[in-house]
Amino acid sequence: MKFRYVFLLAFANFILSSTILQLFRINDAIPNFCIILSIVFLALYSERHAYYFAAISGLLQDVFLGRMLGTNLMIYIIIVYLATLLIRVLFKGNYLTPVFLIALSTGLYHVLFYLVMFFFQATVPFHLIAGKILTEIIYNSVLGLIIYSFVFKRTNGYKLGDYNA
Amino acid sequence: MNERYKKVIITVVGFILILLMVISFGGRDRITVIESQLGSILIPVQRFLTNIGNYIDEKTEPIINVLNYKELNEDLTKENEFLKEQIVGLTMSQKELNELRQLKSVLKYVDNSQLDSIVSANVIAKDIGNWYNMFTIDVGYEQGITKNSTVVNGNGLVGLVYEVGEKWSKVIAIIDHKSSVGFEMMRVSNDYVGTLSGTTNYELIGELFDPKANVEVDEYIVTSGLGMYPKGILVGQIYEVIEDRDQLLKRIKVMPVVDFKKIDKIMVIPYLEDEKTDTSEIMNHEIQLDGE
Repeated sequence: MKFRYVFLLAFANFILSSTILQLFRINDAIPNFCIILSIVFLALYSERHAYYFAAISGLLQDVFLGRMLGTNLMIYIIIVYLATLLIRVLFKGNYLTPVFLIALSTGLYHVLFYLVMFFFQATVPFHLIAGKILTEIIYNSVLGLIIYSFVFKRTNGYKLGDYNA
Repeated sequence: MNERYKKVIITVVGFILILLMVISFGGRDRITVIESQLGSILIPVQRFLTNIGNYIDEKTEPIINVLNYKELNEDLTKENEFLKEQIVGLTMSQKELNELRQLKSVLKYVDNSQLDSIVSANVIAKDIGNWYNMFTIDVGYEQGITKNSTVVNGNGLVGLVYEVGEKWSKVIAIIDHKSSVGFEMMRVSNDYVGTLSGTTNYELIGELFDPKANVEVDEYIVTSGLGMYPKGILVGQIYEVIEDRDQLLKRIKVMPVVDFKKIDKIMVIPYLEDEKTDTSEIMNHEIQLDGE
C-alpha cells in the first residue's frame, strides 16, 4: 500500500471518528480505530506503515481534541513499538492474533494515558471509567477481527484461519 | 534500520513529545498557524458530516426511546405541576423586580453587559477517546473568542474554551474540568456558595463552604461569578447530599442540566479579564429589548 493512502486513511479515520461514528457509541464507549488500524498495518503491511499511521492519527487527535500536544502521538508510537516485538513471535494467520494484540494494545493505551494524566494531575478516578474501557476493549477486538480478516484475505489471497491454504 | 538506531530515535522523539506536553498543558492562548490552518481545511468536512450525524440521530431517537416515553411522560407531568406552583410565587417576585428595575433606571445604574459579543456556534467534532468530553466548535479568534470564554447552550452551562484557533476552538466540558466552578443556590434567601468539579461521568461533585448549609435534593444551582464563569448561569440539579463529618464539609452531587451526549448548538460568552459578565443582566437586557 502506498504511503499516501496511509496518510489519507488517517485523515478519513479522524474525520469519521469525530463525527459520524459518535452515533455508534456503546455504553458510551467509541471504538479506537487508530489502534485497530495501526495493528492491522503492522501485521499485514509493514512496520513503517504502522508508525506513519499511528503518528498522523495521534497528532490529529492531539491537535484537535487533546488536552496537550504529544500525548496520543507518544502512546500510539509506544504501542506500535511494543506490538512490533510481539508480532515477531506470533502467527499472523490465526484468529486470536488480532484479538489478542488489539485487546492488549487498547488496555495498554489506557494504562499509559492514565500514567501521563497522573503526572499532569489531570486524571480521573479509574473506577469511573473502567466500564467504558472494558467496553472499548471488547468493541475494538470485535471490529479489529472483522477488519483484520478482511484485509488478510486481500493481502494473502486466502481466508484468515484457513490452514489448508 | 538497525535496532539500536531505532531505539535512539524513539527515545529522542519521546523526550521531544514530553517537552511538547509540558509546554502545551493547560491550553494555549493562541495555537500555531499550522494547526489553525489545518483546522480551517478540516472544519467544512467535519461540519457536513456532523450535520448528517445529527440528522440521523434526530430521526432514530424516537424509535430507540419508544419504551421510555411512558416514564418520561410521568416525570414531565410531575414537573409541570411543580412548575405551576412556582409560577404563582414568581409572578409576585416579577412585580417587585419591575419596581426595582424602574428604580434602577431612575438612579442611572450602568449595565455591565456584553450582549453584542455573544457568539453562537455549532459543535463540529467530538472527542474520539473515551476519557474526556472535549469538542471543537466552528468559531475562533476571528469571531472574537478568547481562551477561557464561557460556553453555554439553551439549557445551561456547558464548559470553557480551552484553546483558540483562527476559525475554530477547543472546548472542555464542565464535567471534565478539575478546576472548579463557583456555584450558589438558585433561591431568594439563605443562599449558600461552594465549588463544583467534574468527574467525567456526567455528574458534578460540589463542596459547600458552610458545613451547616441547609440544602435539599432537587434544588437547582447556578454559577456564582467566582472564577472564570459569569454569574447566574444554570448548572444543574442536586440529586444527592452527603454529609462528610470528618472533614466538616457538606458535599452535593449534581446532575448537569445540559445533556452532554447531545450538544450541537452552543453560545460563547467571550472572557474579558477585567470585566466579569453578569448573565442575569444580559437576560434582563434581552427582555427589555424584546419589550421595545
